[in-house]
Amino acid sequence: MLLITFHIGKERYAIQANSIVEIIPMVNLNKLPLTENYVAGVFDYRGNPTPVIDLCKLYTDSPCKEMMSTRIMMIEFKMDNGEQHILGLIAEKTTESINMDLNDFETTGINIDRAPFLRGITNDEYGLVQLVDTNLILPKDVLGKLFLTAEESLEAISG
Amino acid sequence: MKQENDITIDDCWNRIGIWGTETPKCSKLDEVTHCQNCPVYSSSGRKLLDRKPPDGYSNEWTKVLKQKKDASLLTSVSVIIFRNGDEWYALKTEVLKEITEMRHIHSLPHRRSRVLRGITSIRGELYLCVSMGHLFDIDKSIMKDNSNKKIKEPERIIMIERDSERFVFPVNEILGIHHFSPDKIKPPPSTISKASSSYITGVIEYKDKHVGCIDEDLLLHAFSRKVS
Repeated sequence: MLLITFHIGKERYAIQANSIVEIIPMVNLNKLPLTENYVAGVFDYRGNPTPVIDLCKLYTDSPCKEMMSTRIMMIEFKMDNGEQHILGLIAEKTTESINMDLNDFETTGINIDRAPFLRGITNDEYGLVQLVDTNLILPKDVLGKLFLTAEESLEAISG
Repeated sequence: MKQENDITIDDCWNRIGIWGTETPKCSKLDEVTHCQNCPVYSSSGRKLLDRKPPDGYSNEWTKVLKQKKDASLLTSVSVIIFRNGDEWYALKTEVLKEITEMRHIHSLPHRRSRVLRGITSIRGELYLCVSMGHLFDIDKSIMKDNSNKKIKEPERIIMIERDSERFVFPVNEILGIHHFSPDKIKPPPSTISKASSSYITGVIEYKDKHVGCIDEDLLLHAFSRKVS
């Protein structure tokens, strides 16, 4: 299974490459008012208003550094009502891909209620890497609201 | 070597590596043969990305990503276009394995079909060499120029493969690989010669040339039938 690795702070994480539509460089984002601080903003992604979440801000409270290696992973979500949406995730050092068996990831034994997205941990020659389940990064209802606000906001801007 | 934004990169490859003049050489060099295979070299390259983006970088990308993807590119078929005799043909690159220069074709005794030309060796492996000209019944007279002199022999060999069945056949000229949207493929004209018509599924226009699209399944099937 091909995985894309990235960093949040000093920690190394991986997500499955098949959930990623595209990895793009940092773009200009329009701020969304009155949203959680981890929502970095929204931008016009190939004609669709797409919200972007800052993973560093979400998990460590400090935003991603402005670097060439800080990139946006565009991830497709299937909502419960069958609609397809794309969400951008900003992460640092999104430069590597690794090939790994998902069975190699072992559960840590610690279940963190606030971090249900962590699916296991393993190590390779570069150190430990934790597997992130993109479906559990944010609760579905939070995501749904986010997609809705994103659409409204861009309509307001363009209108 | 000092980079802006305070990235320090130790360019060991220029000192004790493959491009270096110092001795003794890096001990890892025996193991990796070339600095390009060394993890130190690649991680140094990655470090270059840990810099602030240049001015206008995000502006430019914002503009690029606003554009919708060209839908015609997503459904396009990629074909290799080549010439045999006077005719231009296109074959899907899915079956294309390799293109090499012309080499000697060893003829086989007691062959029953003229389509089978013999065997040829490509990097020590023997392949059945077939003739598309004979299969399509491309008239030999066309292969001669105005002064009735035979024009140059085929110059390139195409190798095709499907389900580990491989054939090579010589062609006169190769134009390269091109992408076409499926709706650009028109039905073949009725004037097309009988022998080749069964293999041609459509015609595409490329730079004022009419290129016949060959059905790769039929072609491979015909080749394997003719050689057995």
